[in-house]
Amino acid sequence: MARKMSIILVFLFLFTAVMTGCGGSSGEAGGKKVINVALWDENVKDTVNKSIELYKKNHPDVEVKVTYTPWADYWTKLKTSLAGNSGPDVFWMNGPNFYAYASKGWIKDLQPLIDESKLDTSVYTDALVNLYTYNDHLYGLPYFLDAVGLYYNKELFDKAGVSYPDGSWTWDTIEQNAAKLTDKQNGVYGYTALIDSQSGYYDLIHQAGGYIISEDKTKSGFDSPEALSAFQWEKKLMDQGYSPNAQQQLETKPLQLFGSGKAAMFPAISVSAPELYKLLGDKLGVAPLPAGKQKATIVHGLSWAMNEKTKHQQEAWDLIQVLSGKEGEQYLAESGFSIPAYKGTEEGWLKSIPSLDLKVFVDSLDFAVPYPVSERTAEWQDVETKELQDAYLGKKSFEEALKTIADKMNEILAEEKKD
Amino acid sequence: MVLPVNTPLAVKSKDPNLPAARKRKTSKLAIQEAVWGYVFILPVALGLALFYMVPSAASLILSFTNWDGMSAPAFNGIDNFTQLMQDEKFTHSLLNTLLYTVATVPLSIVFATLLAVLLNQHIKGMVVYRTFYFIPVITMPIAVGMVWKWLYNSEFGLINYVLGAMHLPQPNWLFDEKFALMSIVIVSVWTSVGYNAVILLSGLQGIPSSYYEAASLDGAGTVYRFFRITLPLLTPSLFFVLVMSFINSFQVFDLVFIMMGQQTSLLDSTRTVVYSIWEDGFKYFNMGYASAEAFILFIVILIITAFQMYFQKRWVHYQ
Repeated sequence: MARKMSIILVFLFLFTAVMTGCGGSSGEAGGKKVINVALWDENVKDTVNKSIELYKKNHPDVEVKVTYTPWADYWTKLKTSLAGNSGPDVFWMNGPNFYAYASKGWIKDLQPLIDESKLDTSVYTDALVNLYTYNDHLYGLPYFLDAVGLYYNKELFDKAGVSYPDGSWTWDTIEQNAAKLTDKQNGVYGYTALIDSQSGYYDLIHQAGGYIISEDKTKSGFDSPEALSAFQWEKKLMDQGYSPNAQQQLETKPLQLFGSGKAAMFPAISVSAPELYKLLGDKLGVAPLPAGKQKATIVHGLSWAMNEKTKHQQEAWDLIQVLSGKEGEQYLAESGFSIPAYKGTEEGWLKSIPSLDLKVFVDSLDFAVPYPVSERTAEWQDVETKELQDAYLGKKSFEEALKTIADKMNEILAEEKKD
Repeated sequence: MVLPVNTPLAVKSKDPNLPAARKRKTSKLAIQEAVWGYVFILPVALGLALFYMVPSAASLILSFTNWDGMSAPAFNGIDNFTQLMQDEKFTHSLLNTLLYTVATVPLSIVFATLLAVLLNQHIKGMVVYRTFYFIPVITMPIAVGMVWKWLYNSEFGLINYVLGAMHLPQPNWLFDEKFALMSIVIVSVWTSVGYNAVILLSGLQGIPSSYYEAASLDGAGTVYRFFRITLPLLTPSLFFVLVMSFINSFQVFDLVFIMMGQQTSLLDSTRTVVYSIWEDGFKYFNMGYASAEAFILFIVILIITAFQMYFQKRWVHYQ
């Protein structure tokens, strides 16, 4: 009898042990406060870690855990975790998603905290402060800016005997030189006509004199002849073999192609500079984007947002202030990751990669166009991506795709106005 | 049940043949056995209930709502189901899954059978061979997917490199609609052959060698022996492998997710039902709709398995 009882007790003990093991750990073991931070670009790791060290000086009792989720999964994971009440306390927010998160109350209104701490938000770039303001309140503290430039491979240019790109280049110059730089035998492309939006067709559409969304956010610019010309130009380059086509870009990331010396020119954001420098070293050069009818570059930036349901509001707010504070932004600048949003700290960034003319990006701000967003950006961007991908892959004509996008987008924009 | 005569129970009752005495003997023991039975299955049963039964029931209930994962769910009757019937994307995903299954299952089982027969020989180093063929089974799907994705890369992958060296055509394995599904089938067969082979191997080892001896005495050749002795006696294992393969094939997701990425519109030719469920549930946050899709998948698999169970008496020979 005693044996039987002891066996049953052992079972029960094991069972409860397993159950508590599964259930208990929400990270609050030992009374230490834990703040969870989520973002997607590992290139900013050192900067974030340095800022956290700075933060810990005044908050020795707080543990900060940082999780990097690849871009493709970041938003899905964030939404799911917020739905499950286990979301991060502090996380990156971008333009297209901002409105949804702010209007649905998933991120905290930082205005009361700003007023309380008497934080002067005029130190941050105006464009970003505007981007992350909802109902006149700031919901995200700006972190960094990014603009688009034309990266190029100096070695490939030297080999083909072509002079490096500069501010005088136009679409025609690109075409002529792409022909000279393309080396079909060695699998080298002269240019990368991106199927991506931010560094690719958004910029091209504006350079052609078109727009993505009208100033008053009521009309889509996708069905304009200017927009069509941008895509036709890209298609011409792909058809002639001067640029990898859509299928190739889907299979192998253009950044990888350029980084391994398979492409001579690659439009990309300032954020990619350190990564590309690691891959190409001194062979890397950067120039302003070529002009179509005019010069244009898309400028965007990220901010730090706070989970509405955070359990440690004060600690999270202090962390955000440190990350986007003067020192935090200086760390960011020195790492070369991108243009800091804190006015006056850009110097560090400009010097971060001496062989690279990073001033190109700062100068581009003169003809910068803000990243196009509206309230329901995610919805029309979905249609945009699917339709354009089909068109790039040759499954339908660009005219058809652009008309479908514009119609759907106008529909959504009209509904936005009604609300 | 025969009890030894000197057990307390036997001694207690005066006449073991009295109905009352016999009932008391068996029922006390039966209860004891039953209790112990339940105690031992309790951990597994609880896990099964908590992690399978309860979520399945919840999913079924959710399929009648329009839950978006964040706000409170609201019932919308059978709207999800009627919408599904007209949803081209979903019916296409059912078709893809069916094609995938029809390709994977026979290939996997045929190769597994041949492999099992080969692995059933008494040659030196057989343990090593068996291990090698089982390794793909225990390798993580993510690792499998990523390596094969590289192998399949049309410009830089190993497969096309070898084909190119032999001056053969180099198709775009993953991003050409004609080849995409087939490419995933190949990887899937590669992964599952080992598992099926091990099961079939144990089935082979259960066949008494006396049958083979008798057959060879009568002058039967290898092929004859295989088709007339091995296969029929292997049918119980084959049946198990068939049912499990069907059920697993219908639920394919991880290989598609890893190898095809998430943004490509080429996904149309490889979108399977579970991928569609994931997409609708976690990308577009139509949890109610996704639950309805999951329920339909459950019914489809249930019907197919029921069919297989019904037909087993026609072709499965139990000894």
